Amino acid sequence: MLYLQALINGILMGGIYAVMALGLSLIFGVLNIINLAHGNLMVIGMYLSYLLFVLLGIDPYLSLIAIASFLFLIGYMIQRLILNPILDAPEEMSVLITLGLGMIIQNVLLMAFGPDYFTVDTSYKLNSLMLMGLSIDVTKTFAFGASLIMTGVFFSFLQWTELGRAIRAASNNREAAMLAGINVKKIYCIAFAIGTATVAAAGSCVSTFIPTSQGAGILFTMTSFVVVIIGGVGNYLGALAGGFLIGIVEELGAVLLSGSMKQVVSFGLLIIILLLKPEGLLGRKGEE
Amino acid sequence: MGSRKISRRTFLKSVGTVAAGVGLSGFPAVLRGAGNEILIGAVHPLTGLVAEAGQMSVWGLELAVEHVNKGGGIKSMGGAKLKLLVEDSESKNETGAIAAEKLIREGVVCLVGAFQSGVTMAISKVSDRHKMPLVVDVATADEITGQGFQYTFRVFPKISNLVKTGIQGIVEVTEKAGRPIKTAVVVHISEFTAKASFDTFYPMCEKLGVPWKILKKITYPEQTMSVASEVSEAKALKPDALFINCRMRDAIMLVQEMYKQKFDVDGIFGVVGSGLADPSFLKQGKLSEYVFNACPWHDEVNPFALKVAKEYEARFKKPYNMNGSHSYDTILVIANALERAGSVDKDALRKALAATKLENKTSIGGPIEFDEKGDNIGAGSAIVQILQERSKCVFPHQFALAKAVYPVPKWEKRG
Repeated sequence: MLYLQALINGILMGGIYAVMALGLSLIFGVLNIINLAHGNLMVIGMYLSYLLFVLLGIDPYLSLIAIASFLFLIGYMIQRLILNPILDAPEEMSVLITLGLGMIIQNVLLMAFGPDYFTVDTSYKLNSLMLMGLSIDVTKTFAFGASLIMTGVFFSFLQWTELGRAIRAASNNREAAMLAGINVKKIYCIAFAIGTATVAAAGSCVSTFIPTSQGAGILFTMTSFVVVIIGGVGNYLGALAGGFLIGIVEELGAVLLSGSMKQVVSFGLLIIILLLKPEGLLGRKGEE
Repeated sequence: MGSRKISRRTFLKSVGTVAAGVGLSGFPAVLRGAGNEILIGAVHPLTGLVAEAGQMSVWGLELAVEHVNKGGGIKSMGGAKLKLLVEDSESKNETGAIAAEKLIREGVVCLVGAFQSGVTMAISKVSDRHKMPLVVDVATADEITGQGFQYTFRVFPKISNLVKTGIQGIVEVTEKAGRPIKTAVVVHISEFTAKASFDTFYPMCEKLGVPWKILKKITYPEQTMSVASEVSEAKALKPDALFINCRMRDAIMLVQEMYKQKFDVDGIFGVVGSGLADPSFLKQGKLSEYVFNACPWHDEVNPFALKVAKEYEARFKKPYNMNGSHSYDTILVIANALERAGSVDKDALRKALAATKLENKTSIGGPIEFDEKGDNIGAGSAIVQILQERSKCVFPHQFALAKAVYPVPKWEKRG
């Protein structure tokens, strides 16, 4: 029974991990940028949904669309103004720049909101369904549903739209895409913007059950990285699989071993996958 | 473009001016201290994770200095006024030690600090080397006064006493309600201070012969995304009570998750859980309501303490709590010793501190007196319970402001 409960908890968290990691996977796959500000952008999403809820009473699952659109613009500008200029620089440069960006975001939020923790108190925040002694968290189920919808939209977009095809083309071969008449720099901006928008939306989703504070960025970044690497870098289905795997393994690990071991379990899994299948679960050979 | 190069001469001149300025402000501080002003140096964390708590202590110190000065200063020294110099430890041991050295150079007659036990240990070594009295306002590790240092005194209770009184309090509150705890689960964050509290808690439970059995010890990492399965695990064991130690973030997640999973216990008890006294946790409404915490506390009954608390809260817009009150009292202890010593001589002050007996104070417990190690014999600790979004003392009864609500109402009954 307890294991079943942990499994449910794990599946719900897994969906959220997946959508957190999706943007990171896209940004890395297309741009080859290791975005260390990823989690901090998610934290911005959390603060915005808190503000919109407190000031205007808008539910986080509604404000999600506005927040994602806003962060889309921010993401676009970040790529346009600070990352495009270093496209040809060695990859380490992007690490330094995004690390710095993450610190700036964290400290600006600290100045603006202080070290306090904020919670979005929606009317249904504490609801849970009791089914045969198992409790199913309502907000996490919403977040899970929203994650699945976002993932669906994300895939359809990449698969079936002109722009999506262009993004995939730029990801596969930058020069060839340029020769084919694709404005690669613009595509990069759009890809980074989409990555930022999805992670900000993920931030909106979790703001109902994780207290909002400026310091959480690094945790989100690390979790996303583990998910992406396990699933296969640049492989979006892999992010989904990795997310569920980490969610389930962490929650079951908390019960089977001990709570403080759960991160050991997920990082242990990461090491095993890197040893046995360095391209990730769903990655293709040669992509590592 | 005109020449904007800085000439060598201009450069030297400006460097010289700056150096002279530094020299002037550095040295005469000692002279200034020996005049009609007595310098006291405080080291507290003013940036970083526990900045808020450090700030609440510094406010306590500042308010007390102001009150002593308003009351005529140190009369035996011609009404000399106290002056507080504050340095940031940045929560780092080395930075704290450097700050203490700096304050000593600036001519303080006594040091105060430093919230974290590690930083306080580092400062105590500096103070002992310089034979400079250190009065610890807030810090719990037993080791601080266990080093055999002659110049270290502590107003705050030490962890072993805190945990001991805490356990006695929990036993009394629950037995008085006719519902002694038979089974309990421990849930805490894997982090140094939380672990230290429980490392003291387990042997003390055995020593005191408590009625409860600990069914399981559940820990989770500091940075966690969810505590859902930890709560499910505790729930499956059906304990009477939970003993916890959390930071504020995970404390909020813990009670949220307990509510969602309808995990009812007779009581949730913090074992020196600092996160449970934080304003953000108090604001959690029905979730944080009725949570108990065993911790040092300020006196909410004595009229003098009440007046100070009122002024503090009106001025700083934060609740007067264990940090503010013990810091405030520390300045009273120092002022009292200076009064009796009649001089700023370090040894005279040390002797006067050792002979302290201070009754008028704002923290709970008996009069402040120091034992041979420098620990406050009168240091008290309390069980507080969150009632109407405020921590209120429910034990010991002479300081109790409210009656403990135990067993606590079930989640469904809280609306």
